[in-house]
Amino acid sequence: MNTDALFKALEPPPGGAERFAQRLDEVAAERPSQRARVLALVAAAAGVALVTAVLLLRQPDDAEQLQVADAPPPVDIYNAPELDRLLGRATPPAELMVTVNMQSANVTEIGTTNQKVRIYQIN
Amino acid sequence: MTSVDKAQWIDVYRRLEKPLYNVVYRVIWDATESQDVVQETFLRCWRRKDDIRADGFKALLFRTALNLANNRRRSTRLWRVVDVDALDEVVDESVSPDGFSKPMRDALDSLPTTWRDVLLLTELAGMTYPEIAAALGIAEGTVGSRRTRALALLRKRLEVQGVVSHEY
Repeated sequence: MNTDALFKALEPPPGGAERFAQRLDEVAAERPSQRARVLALVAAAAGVALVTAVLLLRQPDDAEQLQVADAPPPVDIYNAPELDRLLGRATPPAELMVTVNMQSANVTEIGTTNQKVRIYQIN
Repeated sequence: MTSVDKAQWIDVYRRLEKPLYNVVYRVIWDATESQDVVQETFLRCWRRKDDIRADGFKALLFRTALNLANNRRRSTRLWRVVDVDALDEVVDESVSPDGFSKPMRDALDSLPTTWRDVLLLTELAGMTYPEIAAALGIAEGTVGSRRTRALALLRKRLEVQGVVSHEY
């Protein structure tokens, strides 16, 4: 005996080609649906990832930021006298009401050189 | 899959089943498992049929078959190790149904995998050195040197086990 005995040709079990044809049919039949399932899963995952990324990474652009910064505050607050000094606006003169002995009295403003001082005379 | 496509694949299977089976059998030493590996080889190649070049098809088949066979062999051995029940079994492996004695199988099994793969392809696959070189991704000269070394080591192992005599 020599090493040739180790390499004698053996016959495979019978029916191999038939079994292979059967397995080929099985694989071919499941292939499109499997591919479709994989594609659907990949598409769904990609969609979720895209939406998440957009939500997480979205930042207002410059125009939008400027618009927000420059937008006037609500009208009531904007027109409040308390904001006049802050915004550098001239405060409109307020009507002066003076009561003497529970009765309204007339007043006359007297001129002064100090812009911050108002002097009134009760008539 | 068209019927022509299927018929062509089955025709190629019929022509190459035997050499592939013989190569795989010398790795796994089980007829049913070997035929399953051969079929799995064809199915894997069929799945990749759009990427396969015609001139590289044979090399791809044998390379895939050897990879699958070696993987199957490793997993089978692992399961044997963890299969405690098998410890109680007494199996007479002195001569298998294929006529190969255990020393013969052991001698082939003991070769380095890279040498054994070359030897199986040169002796059983009917492939040329360039085809084997392409299949295994090695130089043609390496095919020859590995075959020579593998045969020498195989004869030595068989001599030690008394399977072959000195005069051949």
